[in-house]
Formats: sequence, C-alpha cells, structure tokens
Amino acid sequence: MIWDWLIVFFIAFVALWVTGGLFLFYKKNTVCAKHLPVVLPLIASILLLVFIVIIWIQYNRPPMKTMAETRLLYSFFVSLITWFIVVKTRSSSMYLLGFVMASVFLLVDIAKPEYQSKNLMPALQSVWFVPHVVIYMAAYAVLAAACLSALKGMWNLYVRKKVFVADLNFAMSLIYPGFALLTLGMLLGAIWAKIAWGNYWSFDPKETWALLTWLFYLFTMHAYLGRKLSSKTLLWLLALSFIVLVITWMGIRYLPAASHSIHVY
Amino acid sequence: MRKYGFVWGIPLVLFCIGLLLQILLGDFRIDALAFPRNVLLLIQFILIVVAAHVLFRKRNWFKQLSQFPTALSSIAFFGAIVMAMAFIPQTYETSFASIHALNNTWLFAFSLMYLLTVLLLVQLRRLFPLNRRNLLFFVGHFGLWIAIAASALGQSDKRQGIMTVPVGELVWYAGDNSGKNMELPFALKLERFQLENHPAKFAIINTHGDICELKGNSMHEAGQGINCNIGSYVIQVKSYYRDAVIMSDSIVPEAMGYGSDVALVEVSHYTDNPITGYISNGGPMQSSRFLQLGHDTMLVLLPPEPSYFGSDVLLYTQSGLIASPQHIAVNAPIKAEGWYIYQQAYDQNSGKNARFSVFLVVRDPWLPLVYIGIVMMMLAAIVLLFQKPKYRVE
Repeated sequence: MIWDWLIVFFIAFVALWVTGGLFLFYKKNTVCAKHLPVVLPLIASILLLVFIVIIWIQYNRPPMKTMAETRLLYSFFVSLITWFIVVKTRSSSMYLLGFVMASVFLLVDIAKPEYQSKNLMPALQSVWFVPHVVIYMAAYAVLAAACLSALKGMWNLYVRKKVFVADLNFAMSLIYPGFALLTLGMLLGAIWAKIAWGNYWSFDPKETWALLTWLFYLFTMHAYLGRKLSSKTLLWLLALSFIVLVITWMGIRYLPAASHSIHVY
Repeated sequence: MRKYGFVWGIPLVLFCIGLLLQILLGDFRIDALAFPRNVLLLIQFILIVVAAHVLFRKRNWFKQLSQFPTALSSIAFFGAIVMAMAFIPQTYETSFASIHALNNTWLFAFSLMYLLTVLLLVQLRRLFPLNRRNLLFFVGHFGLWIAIAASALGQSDKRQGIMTVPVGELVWYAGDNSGKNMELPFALKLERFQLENHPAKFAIINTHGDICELKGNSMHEAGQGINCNIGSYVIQVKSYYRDAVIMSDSIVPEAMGYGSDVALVEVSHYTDNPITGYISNGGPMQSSRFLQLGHDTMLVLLPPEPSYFGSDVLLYTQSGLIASPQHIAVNAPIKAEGWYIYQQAYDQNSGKNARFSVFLVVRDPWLPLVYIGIVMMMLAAIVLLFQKPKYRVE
C-alpha cells in the first residue's frame, strides 16, 4: 500500500526542514547557513512531489480526489511557497510557520489516509480536473501564508506591542496572487461545470462557500486599498477570511446546508 | 468613515424595501423578464447610470458612489446574502421570505443590482485617461460586470429539460422542471448505450448494511488472484468474473451483460477454519450474495461504480433533417440547434443492458456573453498574479 510509505517521506521531509531551520536560526554567518535553509526545504518539497507522482502512476489517475489527496497536494504547495518566501525574505518566522502547517497536514494524512476511495467517477475524468484542483490548492497555500503573516502581525501588535504594518503589507502582497489563483480556480470550475453538468453555476453549497470566500478576500483587498479601515481591523479580516476558506475546503460536509452537495468527498 | 455613512445606508434601505416586497409580492420573478424585456431593461439601466454619471459626476455625493466605501458596502451587501445562503440549506422548499431559495428573492436581486450599479459607476469614473492601469482595471471589473449581468438576465431565456430516450427509439421532446413536455428543434435516436464499471470492491458490513471501519483497510479492490487483508480477515480470491450469473450448482461466466461481479473467495480469520463461498454484488438477473463471517459481519462485493458511460445516437436536426451519428458521454456533450445535449443518467436497474439513456438538454442564449466576462476576469487574474498593492506606511 503506497500510503504506508508516506511516513518515510514525512520523516525525510521533517529532517530536511529541521536541519535547514537549525542553520537558519542559529548559525547565522556561515556558508552553510546561507545555502542549507534554501536547498534542504527545496529537496523536501521535491520529495513530496515524487510521492504525489508515484501515487498518480500507481492509481492511474491524478491523486486529487479524496480529502487525503488534496491535503497532500496542499502540503506540497505550502512547502513550496514557504520556500519561495524564505528565498525572497529570509524570514525565519515564515519558515517555521510554513513548515509547521505543511507538517500538520501530512500528519493528518498519516493518521487518516482514506486510501479506500480510489475510483474516479466519470464526471471527474476531465482535462479540467487537474488545473481546477491544483490552482485551488496553490491559492489555499498562498492565502494560508498570508494568514500566517497576519497572525505574526497580531503577535507583534498584541503581545510584543510593536509595529505590525510590515506584516500586514507582506500579507497583502500575498493576497494579490492568492486572490488571482482563487479567481482562476473558481472560473475554471465554472467552465468545467458547464461541460460536465450543463450549468456553469448552480449555487451548490461548495460553490456558495467558494463565492463567499472569494467575496471575503475581495472585501479585504478593497478595504486595504481604500485606506478607510484600520490596519488592525485588516489583520482580523485576513484571519477571518482564512477561516471561511478552511470551512469551504474542509468544513462543508459538517454543515446542514451541504448535505446534498456534489462536492462532498 | 463618517462622511461615507450614507453609502452604508443604501444597502440598509434596499434590504428593507427588498424584505417588504418579498413579504408583499412573493418571489422576484426573473422568468417574467424574458427576451426582449431583459435586453430593454439592461439598455435602460446602462443609459440611466451613464446619464447620471454625465450629469452629476462633479457633485461630491455622486463621487462618493464610485469610491472605496461604496464598493465595500456593495460587496458586503451581496456577501451577506451569500453568507445566508451558505448557512441556510437551499432546498427550494416553500418557506417564510423564501429563506430556502434565497436566489429567487428580491433581496438577492437588489444586492446584485446594487453591485452592478456600483461596478458600472466605478468603471465610468476610471475610463479615462486611457492608460495601462485603467485598462487592467476595466478588464477585471467589466469582466465581472458582464458575467453577473449576463448570467442573471440570461436566466429568463434559459431552457432546460430532461430527455429520456429508449434504445432504438426516436425522441424529439424533453420534460421541463414542471414536468411538462417541450418540443425540441432536434431529435435523438439511441443506437447503443455503453457502460463500463470499475472493478468491484470487497468490504465487510454489519447487519444494518453499514460498512465496518476496520483498522488498516476497510475495503479492497476485487480481482483474479487477489490476496488481501480487510481488518484482521485474510481474503483470497480463487476465481473472479466480471459478468457472471450464479446458478444453483454452477456458474455462467459470460452472461452477455446480464451478470454481475462474482468472486469465489476463501476467508481466514486467525486460527478459525477458513470459510469459502461465492459472493456477488447483484445485477438484473440475480440478487446480491454475501458470505457470513461472524454473527453480525459479512463479506460483500460493493455495487459497481461506473467508470464510463455514453450513448451512440443519431441526431436529426430541423434545419438539415439528416441523421448524423454522434457520441455523447459524461464530460463530452454535443451541440445541436443552439442546444447542448449532456449524458446525464441511464437505466441503472439494467446496468450494461440499459433500456434507456437520459440526457440533459440546455439552451442558454446568453452563454457567449458570460464566457466573455469569464475570459476577461481570467485575463485580469493572470495579470494580478504579478502585481503588488500600494503599501501602507507605518
């Protein structure tokens, strides 16, 4: 069973990130400290990609159907995007937060792999399936990074009583690509729905929640640009928007409004 | 924020009027706006907004209508309705103020109208000067505007129905939502229906028919020569047939599509004596068969899951009246006389020998406009991927 191997990949993943992290945090002025925090997490991300490709080959279909599979894909994107942020900013707190987030999702997968649902129903056998899911997972990962940056801002604001606008600005610089990916994922989904089900939008509970998530981020962006809401309110808005996003992704099946959604899996 | 108080008053007033109209008049009847009314309404709407822009654009109160607080109030108003839809099950049953069918309400209509008005005003203000920034702004905002306007107004011109076509027969009508038949400008003759299933799966169920969640694997794919574990049970497949019928003392291994998955299995559990027997997930010729393992557990083959289904049809169109062979499958609709034809379902009781195929037919003349809006939004999103906002300072 391929999922049994996830734990091996996970240990390697953690070992690489922790080693890179140690050099990032402690050995500040050496050649190793310069390169290892960049190289090791990248290898870790590539390992996850290899695991995804192995499942893809073994199942003979894209591993993007079950919750466990989307979590795996998400961990990969979170680690990749965190890597990208670390390369750009050398931010050790983003390194830590991104690593913890990717690891938590991998741990959930190890505890609950849900490997039994392997079959792909005809409606999912579409060229739109992979771009729709991949773009959404990438959007979720970027927006998670934005939320982490907002949490860092809250920490600075409430605990350390320091300035936090830099954290807010960084979060907002991630909201742009995150919102763009969210928009693309949603519109690709609409086109696919037209081809598979005959309607591009039908207010299926998952669609309604995806629209709500999109509107939350749309509101946040306009509130930031409009300079009418305080920076503190914006931090809270960013965190709230991400909560709505997580409900859209994982919470739908627990809501009474979604008992007959086509997206419940 | 105070000087913008009135822009938050607008959604509040609209909410009250919308609620009042909803209680007094019932649902907002979008179907009453069929062509040409929807086109006229759209033209009037654009003319009024443009005229207001030309007349009042220098006035302070009017300027505020196309600034950020108004944008926020319109997103929040629409967002509030969407949030209500997200939490209240939208089952479309009759209820007070249609809370179970919110997209048919005056509130929903008003929130969209307000959003469309603000979007249009904002674009008019940002139309000039013609530069790159304003162009990107236009592509994104107008894309959204056109997608919403066309999909909302297009609802009234949309026709949709279900076409059930028996094998070998010609059908030229479809049942609509109210159960009435509507004549179509084309006809379909079903030549052949094709169905392929995934291999069946083993599972252990209890007497209530629920699948037992066991440690490790709760299900396993069946197949010739498979040796697998479900929980602490070891299952060995002696022989496996995709399309067989179990007789009293023998097996018909090739049943011409009338059979079902059948497996001869041997199940061992720790040191107990192995149990052997035939199991089947049942089909048109036989009911399902299980293997009793304990007093409340049994091994079953789960019902087949389709991996593919599609129909070979002859399409007769009004304009041509020539029969053309076509293939319709899930994710592969065809188009005829302005209608899209989708493979939707089939005669599940008969499986591979389905006696009829079910098609969804949809006509949506506003679709091209919606697609234009979608493509514009996608272009704007791609550019946005590489943009950075104007940062706030400490």
